[in-house]
Amino acid sequence: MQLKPAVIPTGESALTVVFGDSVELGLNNRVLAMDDDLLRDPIEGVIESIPAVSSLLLRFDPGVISREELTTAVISRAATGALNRQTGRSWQIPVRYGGEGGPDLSEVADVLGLSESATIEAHSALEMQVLMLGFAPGFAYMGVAGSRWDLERRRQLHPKVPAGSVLVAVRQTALSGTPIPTGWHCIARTPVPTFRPLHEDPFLLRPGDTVSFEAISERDFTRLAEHIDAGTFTLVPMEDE
Amino acid sequence: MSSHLLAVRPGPLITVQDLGRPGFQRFGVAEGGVMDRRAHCLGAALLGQPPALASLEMTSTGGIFRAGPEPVHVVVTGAPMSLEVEGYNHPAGHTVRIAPDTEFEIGATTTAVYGYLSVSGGVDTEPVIGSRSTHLRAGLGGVNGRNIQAGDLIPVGPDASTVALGVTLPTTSDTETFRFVWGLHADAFAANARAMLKEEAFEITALRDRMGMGLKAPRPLRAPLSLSLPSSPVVDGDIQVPGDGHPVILLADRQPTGGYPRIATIIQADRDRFAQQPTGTLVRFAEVSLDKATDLLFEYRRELAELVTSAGGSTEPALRALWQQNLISGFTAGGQEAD
Repeated sequence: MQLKPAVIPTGESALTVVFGDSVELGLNNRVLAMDDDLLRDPIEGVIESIPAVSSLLLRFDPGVISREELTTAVISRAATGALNRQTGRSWQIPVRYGGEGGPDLSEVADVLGLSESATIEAHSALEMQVLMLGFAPGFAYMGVAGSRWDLERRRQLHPKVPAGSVLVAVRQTALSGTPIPTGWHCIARTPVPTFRPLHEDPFLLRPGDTVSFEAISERDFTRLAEHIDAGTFTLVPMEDE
Repeated sequence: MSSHLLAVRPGPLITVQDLGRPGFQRFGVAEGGVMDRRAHCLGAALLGQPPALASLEMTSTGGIFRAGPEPVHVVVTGAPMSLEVEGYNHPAGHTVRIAPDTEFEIGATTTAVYGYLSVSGGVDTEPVIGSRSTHLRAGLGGVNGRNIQAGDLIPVGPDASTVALGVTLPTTSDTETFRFVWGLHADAFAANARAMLKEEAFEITALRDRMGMGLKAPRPLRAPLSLSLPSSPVVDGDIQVPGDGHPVILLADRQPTGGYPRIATIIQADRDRFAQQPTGTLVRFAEVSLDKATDLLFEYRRELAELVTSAGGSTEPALRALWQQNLISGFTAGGQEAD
């Protein structure tokens, strides 16, 4: 039984479709299902769809479709349209936990009451959904991990963590595409670029993709980074089994 | 033939901007683009070229530039910064021919914030993710993702324009009232907070940039419910209220999503003028209905269309780009392809 989403005007040429107000996979799947549906079967006058964790912004041209018409169409789609979203791609992203790229690993281990290696094992066992991208180019929010991962943000911001930083807080993991300030806990780094502005396909991750992390050694990190710089390595999605 | 402008002594914050890179907010990329669309479009129109071409957005101060080996036509719009060349002073809004290798100086402004230097052929830096707009925080676009610095050779496209003489720039309106529609979380705010927005004056603080403008409220606005909001996408002109109760208006380089409550949205027809308000100005807000805001949007579009056509500029393709209808045929999903 699915409840009708709330459709709320946001400025005079956008609507926010709200499925809920919490970070939950079920809500995110409904967002992604509507987003997919609109991609495959566009509503004329809708200019852009921006999916977030539990809501979706639709920007429209009121010269082509009215706010009322679009609201009706959206509610109708939510009731009768695709309930299942298209499966995203699966990624296994190699990361080096701790060390210079993961300065907060030890404090996270303390909060979890685990050793560092058990923390690494627990985090790399997670299979997470990319819930949304936002905040900065290529910045991906993934979740939703179990309640033990409901870590509060740090009291002190990291003024800048590099691109490829793996960050944890509030049952989510985030992966930065660019250098950013953050109040999340930085536990690992990947040499794989997730945002390449000059590339024909700049964004590695999309909402709805599945991500897990694979722990690699410092040496393998360095080698991998060299291959990436030389253009001899590209991360590809996992094949379906 | 293409040419360049040499930045001899540019003002401290000048960036290449165009109409932005809409369509990539789902990937965390800010829409960006000029802070004052009207001014940028007027400049393009006066030079008889499409507004999709990039201009230089000059914050408060212009500075000294030198034309390259080819002559160029330039015009300043937006803030009333004058242009001096070869001993003559030209007011903003007047097109000026600059002879090869000739220096010109653009003045400063206190009555507005953003002046636009449009140049025949447009500023021709390499587009990044579909736009020449500079996003400083992400280091995207423009000249190496940063502001113009002394010594920069700013590429300029081939001059194919039909140049108009110029216009007298519209005077800065005395009205410092900006119309809004209620926002996504308006109901979460107390009645007296909503009343404050409509009735009181707010000061524009120095905490402002292309991402947003911070206001000082007479008293902090509070959302009485403890809102724990997951991030949701924001729109240009959204008035968000962080924990301290002082509103922030989100602008061109805003992050695509935000977690603070949003009480209202400034209507698009008033958004250009808002961004031009100098620090220290006291502004007021007036509620309008969504229907009224939509009517005003159409009026704003007509005004922009007239700017483009009346100054002899190209019309239909330019306007479609303006209304973002023509990004990709039909619905845009940024870089995604339909399977």
